[in-house]
Amino acid sequence: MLKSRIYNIIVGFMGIIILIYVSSYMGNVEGELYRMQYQGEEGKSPITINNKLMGFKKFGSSILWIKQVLDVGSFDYKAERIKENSEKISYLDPYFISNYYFSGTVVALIKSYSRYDYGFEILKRGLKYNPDDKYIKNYLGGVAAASKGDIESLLISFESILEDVRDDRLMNVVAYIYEEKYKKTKNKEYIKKAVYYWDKMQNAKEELYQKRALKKLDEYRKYN
Amino acid sequence: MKQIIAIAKFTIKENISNRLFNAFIGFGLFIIMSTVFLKEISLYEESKVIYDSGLFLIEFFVLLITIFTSATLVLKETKEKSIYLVLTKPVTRNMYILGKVLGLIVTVFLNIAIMGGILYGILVWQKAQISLEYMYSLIFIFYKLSLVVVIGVLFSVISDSVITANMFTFSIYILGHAIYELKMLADKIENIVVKSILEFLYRILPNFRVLNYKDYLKHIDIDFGKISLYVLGYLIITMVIINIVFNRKKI
Repeated sequence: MLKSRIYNIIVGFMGIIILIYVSSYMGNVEGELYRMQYQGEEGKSPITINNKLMGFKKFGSSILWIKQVLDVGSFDYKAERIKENSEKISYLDPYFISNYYFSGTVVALIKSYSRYDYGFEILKRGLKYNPDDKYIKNYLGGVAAASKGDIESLLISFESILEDVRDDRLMNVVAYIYEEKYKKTKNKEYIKKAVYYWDKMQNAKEELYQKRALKKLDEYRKYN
Repeated sequence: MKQIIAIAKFTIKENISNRLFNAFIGFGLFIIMSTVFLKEISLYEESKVIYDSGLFLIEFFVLLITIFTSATLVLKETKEKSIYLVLTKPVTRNMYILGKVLGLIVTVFLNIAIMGGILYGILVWQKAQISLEYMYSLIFIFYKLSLVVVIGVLFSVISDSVITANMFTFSIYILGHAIYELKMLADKIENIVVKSILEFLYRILPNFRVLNYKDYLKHIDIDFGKISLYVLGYLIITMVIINIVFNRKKI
């Protein structure tokens, strides 16, 4: 019994020394983790707070991302809700860049929404947490141009994104603008560009864009 | 040492032959494999969704198994009276507990290894980019759940009810993640009693926030050795407390 007590005291003492030795390091890592998390109040809700406190931030952001994709796909969703959902994703993972690309352009560029203010807000938040991301600046530039009706600047911004990033929604916007320009000017260069993007859209992730691409390619077959 | 290893081996065998335990594992594996279907609805972010959901599910299911097996450990054996058979042999209470905890920790390791291996296979199949961070995430899940094992066993020794032991262990798991918020709350509160309680909790609760590598939002360089030492130190102290309580417990 006495032997066991002495053993417990010695081992316990060793444990305390180890914990004291690493405590300042653990505090530093903790501080660093705190600093890298989302610092605003937007997106705060019982669900996001629970996810954050229980250590499921990334899983929570993935689930909210799926929700966002499905909601946008259903087409009967209000812009406010898309913005809200995007804020919730940011609250959990502010470095999740696709959230800003997708949500920012959807609320700004889909005709039924056309909320450029929301688009700016979402994309600016993205820029705040991801200042080194080169595409987010182009997205912002494109939305800014769209809000002013500056089609040429919009095309420059969005086409530079499409050189490296796969974004079917954006591709659809660019193809549509080129088609409209062709209809107005009858300049074949424009429709060739539109066909180029529809061709790429044939293997889009969303069925809607696949169908649209096939329909348009069929319509403008002679330029294909 | 022989006795400890024998008890550990028996604990592993006992867990593997437990029906409920196997049902949890089977269901966990099924759900992890089902994450592949999320691919269809996760537009451009298939890998992220499968990766994050998979790691979450591994931790969640192994956590359920861990809490269930550790928090009921001593209580179940006392109720079934099987504990007397072991303690009448030349096995001290310290050896008994150490053997049991070792067996549970190895079981947790095996579970994480199996589920982690399957998720790895799924990620490779989905052509996702997998870095060393995946390995770190699994190791840190193992660290976290090893601490849950000793905390569960501690409550199993202290408590007289399986339900309260399970609830307390789960509460510690949640509080361990919100540890920094407890500290911040303590800094803001002026009431000295509440402040002291919160600071005390901050000092004694396991730091699951730092051990939650799968949820690190950005890459940071970590000292793997120091974090491993933290886990070791915490395990040692909790084991000593368990031994002290268990030695005084009337069975």
